[in-house]
Amino acid sequence: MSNFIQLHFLTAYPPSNLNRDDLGRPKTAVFGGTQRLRVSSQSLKRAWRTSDAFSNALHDQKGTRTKGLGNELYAKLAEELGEKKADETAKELAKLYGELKSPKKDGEKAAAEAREHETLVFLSPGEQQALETLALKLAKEKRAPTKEELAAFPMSGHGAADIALFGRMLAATPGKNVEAAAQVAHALSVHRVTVEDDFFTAVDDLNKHDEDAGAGHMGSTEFAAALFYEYVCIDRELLLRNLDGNEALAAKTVRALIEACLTASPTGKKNSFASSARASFALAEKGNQQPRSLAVSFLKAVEGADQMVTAIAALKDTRAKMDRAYGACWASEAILDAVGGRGSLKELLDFVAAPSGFEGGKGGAEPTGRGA
Amino acid sequence: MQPFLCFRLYGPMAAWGDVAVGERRPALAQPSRSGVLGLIAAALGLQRSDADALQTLDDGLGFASRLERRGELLVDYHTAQVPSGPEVRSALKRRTRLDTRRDELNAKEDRDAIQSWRTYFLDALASACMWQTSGSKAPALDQLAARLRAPTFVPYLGRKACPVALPLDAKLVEAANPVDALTQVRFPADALLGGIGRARSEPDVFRWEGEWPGLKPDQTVTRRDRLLSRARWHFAERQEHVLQRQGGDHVPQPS
Repeated sequence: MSNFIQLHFLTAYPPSNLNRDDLGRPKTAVFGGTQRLRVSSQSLKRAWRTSDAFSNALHDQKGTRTKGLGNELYAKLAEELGEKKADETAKELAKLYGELKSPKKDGEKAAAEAREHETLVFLSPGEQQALETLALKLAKEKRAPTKEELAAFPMSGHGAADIALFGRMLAATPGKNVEAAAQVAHALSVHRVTVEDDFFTAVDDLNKHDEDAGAGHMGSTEFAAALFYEYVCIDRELLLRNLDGNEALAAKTVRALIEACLTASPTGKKNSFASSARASFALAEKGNQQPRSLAVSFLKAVEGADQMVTAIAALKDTRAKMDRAYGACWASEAILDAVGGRGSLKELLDFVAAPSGFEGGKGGAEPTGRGA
Repeated sequence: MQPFLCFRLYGPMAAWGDVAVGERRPALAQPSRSGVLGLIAAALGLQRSDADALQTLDDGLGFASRLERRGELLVDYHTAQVPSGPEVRSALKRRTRLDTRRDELNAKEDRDAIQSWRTYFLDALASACMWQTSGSKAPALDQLAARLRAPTFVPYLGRKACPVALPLDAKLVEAANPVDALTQVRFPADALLGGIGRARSEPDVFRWEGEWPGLKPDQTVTRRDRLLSRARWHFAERQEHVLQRQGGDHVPQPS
């Protein structure tokens, strides 16, 4: 059995450049045969993970992503063990999480670099704590770690809310990977989009026009405005497992993520465009049925002046049609409709955080059978 | 005649991975055997570490696919920001701690970026077909269909950021071979796709494995998507027969 929480939401952004490609152009995608504005899944997840909503709620339960574990352990060990021994031990412990760099140079700087990981390592708070405790113990007893002590690491990575939600991959020790409990789709605009060019000049204030009246700098920025359809699916059972069965923390994590989804924006070029936005419409669904995005609602690009109202209607219509064709795709729902003045963020968060509401099926024909 | 399990694979974005080394993450338009088996394994609740169960599934099921719309190619440029070495060193020097990723990224020091280029196919429309091989120990097809309707883990089209946007609608079809099964099967919710059936001048591409009487491929290609060892992330080469057929009537044309 799986308890899926699906969130569909519509957020309108003014002209902005939230997520750029390697040429600095806002990312796009062809959908339903027309060009749409896009914000990548990765960009959204980063915006949510680093948001205030997420931070404030989960400050003690967030993982750390770093290459610097070896140096942190070295600092803990150096005084007691002496530089050489501390260096060896710190490297030995850090290597449990992956390959370390091998700089060609000599010297202090290179020695520090040699304690760094080649790639980023995502550590849960519990893991970091346990590693430090072990490092201090080794320093106190002035010895190298035993085989048994080393075998205890890396831990499962469980316990960190963001590792539980977004997963972890350690190529060197796949057994310690954590499967992400949240699935996040790329955001696509519900309407067709043409990316526009903003040609700009910067005036040289001290140029008195004695020789020429030219600009001090010329450049161009590409931008577009869009109403995005966004989709997130949380596997509550997997989240709970990733959090070692801590129901309270799971509820807090779901709340924090969904609040971040609806209130936090990707920060790309935010000072040039003041592009922060909040979701205007959100539909949360719970159920055991196979999750599906409702992106097909916008295969036919939304046209006309009243985009938001048209988009909300299209979303509801497609959902009803899908339920009719396949039987109920969900069991219970909550809606936050800022346009129609229905629902509130608090009510929506209370709904998603509650452990109930996953059984049965509504909206269409008979409930879909759950497998063995 | 024998039963085949057929299901729909549609989402705005799909990425059936090809051989990927380093920062270039290529994908192919036609669903991969390993990707679709992974989807079924997810529905059954198998974990990546359940090597034996995954092997049983791989041994016991044959795979074919039909690509009705190839869609557009997208190469997504992707960066991941990392706090670089000097920053972490200076934090140590100051005896301060960088507790969270937010703290790391807010530290006023140099940052690096890890780059990658990820390929996707947009608006692609495909269906998959599976059957029991002789001596198969994999779960029965009707059981698989039931689990696809109420899966344990969330299904996706090759990459986790590619959710399915139509129910998989798994069903059993009696046919002589996988191409016939994929030609016969109907998915009612295709009507919701309306527009993307519009410019269908491209042929349907059927791909299958194994020999079937009366089924002659245009060509046979090699693809590295047969599970060898899930634990070591190893895949073996596999022969895939390819047949193009003009004008499927699968996707309703808008009137």
